[in-house]
Amino acid sequence: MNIFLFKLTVWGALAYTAVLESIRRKDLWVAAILAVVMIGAASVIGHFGVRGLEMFLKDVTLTVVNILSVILAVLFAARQMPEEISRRTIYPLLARPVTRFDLIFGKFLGALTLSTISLLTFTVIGWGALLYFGLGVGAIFWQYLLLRFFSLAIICALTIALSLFLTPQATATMALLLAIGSSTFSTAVTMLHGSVGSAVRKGLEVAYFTLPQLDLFDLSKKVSYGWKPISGTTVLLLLIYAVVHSAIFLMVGAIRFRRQAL
Amino acid sequence: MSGCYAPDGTDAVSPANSGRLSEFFMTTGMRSQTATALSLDNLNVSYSTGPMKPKRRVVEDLSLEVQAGEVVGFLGPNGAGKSSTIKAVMGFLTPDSGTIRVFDEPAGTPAANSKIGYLPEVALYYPFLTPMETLWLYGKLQRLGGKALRDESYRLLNLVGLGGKEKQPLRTFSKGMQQRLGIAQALLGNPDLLVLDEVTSGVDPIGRRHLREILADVRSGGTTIFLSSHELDEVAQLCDRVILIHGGRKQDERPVDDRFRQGIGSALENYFITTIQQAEEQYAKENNP
Repeated sequence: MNIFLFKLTVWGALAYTAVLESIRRKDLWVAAILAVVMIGAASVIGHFGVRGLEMFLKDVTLTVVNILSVILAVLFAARQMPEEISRRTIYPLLARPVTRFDLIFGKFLGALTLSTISLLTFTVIGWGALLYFGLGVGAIFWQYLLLRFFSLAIICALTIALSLFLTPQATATMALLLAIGSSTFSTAVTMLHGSVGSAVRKGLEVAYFTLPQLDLFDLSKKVSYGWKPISGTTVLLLLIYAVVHSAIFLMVGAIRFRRQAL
Repeated sequence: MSGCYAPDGTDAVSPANSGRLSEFFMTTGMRSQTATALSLDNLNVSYSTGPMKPKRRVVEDLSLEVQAGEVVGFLGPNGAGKSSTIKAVMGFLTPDSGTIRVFDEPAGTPAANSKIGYLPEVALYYPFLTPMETLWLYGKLQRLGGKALRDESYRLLNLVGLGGKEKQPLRTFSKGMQQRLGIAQALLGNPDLLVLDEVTSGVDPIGRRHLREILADVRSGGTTIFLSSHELDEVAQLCDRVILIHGGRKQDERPVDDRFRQGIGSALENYFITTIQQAEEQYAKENNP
């Protein structure tokens, strides 16, 4: 077996175990029920026959999908490494011919797979709710899903890296703040950029380009307002952006974890 | 105490001049090209006790060798540094200084770990998996797969007495059953070196005897075993040699001869207690002149 195939097998086995754990813990069921309740509650308005609320329904549905998928991605990723360490299951894993980076990457893939499954679950529920009220979504909807997937990759990588520095609770809080506060931050930077001194402006620029701008991946408003799909080049650039940021976060985590005493 | 002399004043025996070993190699042959399965050279390990606090040294200038095919008991009282040494061998702790080699490979690397089967001090496994799924996961991490892995998993589970429980979730397993599974995962892939930390911890007397029989079978196949244990009966019956550490330092090493075996642990227990007491007296003299 060549080395790349072996690495794929290792990462796949670790990811599969993470997914299996979550399924057997019924995490995804809880998420699905939560999505049904929230989207259902929003849909009640439509049920009373209020006209002109199509955009509102779409907006609420996609916002619920966005928020729940981010929360679950953070929760899935935040527990991967700390749980391995606290319940000592990490010892038999690292006693095998695998590196610590293999473990981190396998866990990342597991968290990303779970996040994607939950995103698709929420999407199916949301889409079902919209179809129920006779509302369709355009082709941009598929791009919306793809870009959500990219952003979840960044969130999972960021959270796993943070989990190697902080306690699980602090990791979840920090990752949620960064993920959900990202758009607020970028809006604030855009507004402040022209009205501050050069030193502060430089600092803001560094922070803007260092922190992942997750709102770049959010096409929910465009879906709600029925925009046309964005260009393939933009999608490709966003893919590169997501891969680079995810790789940076995973490398930071791996450097931290490389010599950590277990 | 330097560890050069046994408590009764006789020369402590190094692995190199043990007659048993040469006989062993002549009769069974070596599994590996390298005669030394495990070597520690001036190993120093310390733990950080907290931010801005000084490190606490738990292993001090420890040197030892385990020859291929040997069964070595690694003994010491609680807090002696046994588990820290084993963790350093497995690459879970980075030593401050010194070298560790496993069949000539630097410890903690995938190349070294591919030759080791490891049982942690407290064996815990994923509660949501079954024994078969657990062995599948560990098998995949060491390049096993397909029917060979499935057959090997069934064979090992039967060997450790978990036959018929292959598909039962581990959350329903007792500590002793988890320890049996721990032995099975350590034996997966037929490793050249078994590193066992408190091998019979939590296992009932029948299970202990069973595990001893398994380890005796394993050693007859030429596998090197390095085990830490507080069960001196088990050590007397299984090991070719014992190494005693206390305060992170090696105090003594000697072969387990018939004198130890016939006493079924009590002779070894006396030896253990005498050596540790001498080490403590020596330590007290050094620190309170």
